[in-house]
Amino acid sequence: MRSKSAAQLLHAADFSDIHNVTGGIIVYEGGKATGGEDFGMDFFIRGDFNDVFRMSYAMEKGLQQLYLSLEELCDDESVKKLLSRLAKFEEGHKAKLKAMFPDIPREEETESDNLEGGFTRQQVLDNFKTSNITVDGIIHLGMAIETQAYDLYSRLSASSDNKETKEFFLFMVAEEKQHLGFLSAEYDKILAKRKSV
Amino acid sequence: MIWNNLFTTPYANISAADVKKFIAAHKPEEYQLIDVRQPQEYATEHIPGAKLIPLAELPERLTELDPGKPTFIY
Repeated sequence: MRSKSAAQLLHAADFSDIHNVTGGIIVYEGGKATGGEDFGMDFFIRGDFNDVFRMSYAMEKGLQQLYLSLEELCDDESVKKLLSRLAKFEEGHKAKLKAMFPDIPREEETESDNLEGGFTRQQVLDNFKTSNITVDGIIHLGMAIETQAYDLYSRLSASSDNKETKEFFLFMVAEEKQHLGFLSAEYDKILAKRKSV
Repeated sequence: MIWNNLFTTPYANISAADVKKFIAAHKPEEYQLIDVRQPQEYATEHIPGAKLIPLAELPERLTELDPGKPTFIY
């Protein structure tokens, strides 16, 4: 799951011959692949967007709903706390996007928990319930998704010809990178604890 | 703006078995094998010859890699 996002970063950096090893080390060592490999941003964001604002907003909303869903499924207290913190960050990003693009007319936000692209939070939950997601799976997914967000904002920043918008997207790039760092640090703690048991 | 244009599959999937075959048939300097997991996961086990670059460090460590070489990631 993480390697897919890494492949995306390499692609953005013009690497010409990229291969994602499916199943990763587990399959390489003769084990069986676990579920969730194919899950990515495209699960909850589908279709066309008229503008950068709508696309970014849809992404932030999707991320927020995803973190809230994962928080429900997670039984590790420290990871739960991190997920709720990340969901709050996405709320902040939604507000920042609205402030940055005040002129774009938009539909009133509904209280519905529908994710962009028509998925409901329940469908996300069901998707992970059947694939039996673990704490590791949750963190891998978070890292993969934050990297995709990082990549998206990098691309938007690079393609923006307006100085203000460019800087705004660069700021978002730094934020997503920081979130990736939070997940990475939390995962290191979990792995260390596991080793010492 | 079409979302899928930003996220079209920018890479090929390769099976673990085919990676093994590729590694056996090529010299280490002909390709790059990147492990994007955490250092502790790498320490527990990794594919021989793999270079560790945790995902969170990848953005600023891209310069350590050669964009022209076949690159395998896990």
